[in-house]
Amino acid sequence: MKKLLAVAVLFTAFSFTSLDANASSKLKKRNCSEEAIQAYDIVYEYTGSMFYAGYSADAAYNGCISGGGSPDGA
Amino acid sequence: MRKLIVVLIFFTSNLGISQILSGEITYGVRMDEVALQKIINSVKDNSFKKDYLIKLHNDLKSSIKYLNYTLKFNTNESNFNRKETLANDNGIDLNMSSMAVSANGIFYSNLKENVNLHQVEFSGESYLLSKNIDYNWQITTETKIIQGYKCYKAISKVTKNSKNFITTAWFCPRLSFQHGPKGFNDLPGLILELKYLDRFIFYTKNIKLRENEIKINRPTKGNNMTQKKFDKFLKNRMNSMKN
Repeated sequence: MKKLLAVAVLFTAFSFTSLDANASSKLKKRNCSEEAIQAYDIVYEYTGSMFYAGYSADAAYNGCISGGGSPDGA
Repeated sequence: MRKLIVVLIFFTSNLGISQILSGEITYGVRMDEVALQKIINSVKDNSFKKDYLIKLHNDLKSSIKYLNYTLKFNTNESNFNRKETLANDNGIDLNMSSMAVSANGIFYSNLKENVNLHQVEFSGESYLLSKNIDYNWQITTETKIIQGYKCYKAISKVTKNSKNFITTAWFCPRLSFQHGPKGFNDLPGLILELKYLDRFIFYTKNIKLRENEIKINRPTKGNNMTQKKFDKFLKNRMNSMKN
């Protein structure tokens, strides 16, 4: 009975750890749309060029996706 | 008042260069450090935005000196584009820098036909953008000498994306061609300096004038679209990311 309890505690602890790890990896995932929007706003503010802002947003989005981010950060 | 100033400028100018039929101007670009630094300073310290802006600013600062543009013109037409230069030794992409100062691609103007075109590449596609020009220039009596020519200051105020921008042109009535960098025209003299959106200054490095008329190439490549429609297309792309 004591052994069974120990196994149950370990299993529960492990489940919590992996759940926690999943949750933190989800939290840490980059939101590529958000990064693209930020890049657009900054570049537009600085250059006044919608064209370059659009280009920078594309580059930021693609760079973020290649870097392991997702479209909505989920 | 504007008409009166234009008439006065014409009368007081030396009209002795009437035999000139075409020419070529080389422009360099520099940044208005004070104006751009002000934009950087307005962003909160230690933020993603600030870091991004500082990097953008420093990259542009080190590459802008390599940007050179040519304006070829005759009485009726002009063509403005970047001079191809050898890649600089710090490996900076000059296409990107040219985009940052809003001067990538080819700008073409035909005054008689009232045609203003901008040929650009975006996301692997070529576009031929047409624009209706209405700079609504305010000509002032302020003058300065550029490359030995007396130039007058003119100001154009535009609203883009609900932001107000000012562009200043210094035009020279002695060079009586209505052309300028980046498709800016509609002034009674060649534009020898243009401060675009109060940020980037296109200045004259060299002037070549010809007594024969040179042929100006008209860009033809790309999907035809109005500038307005293209701006809307860029805006919609961003809005689709926001939703």
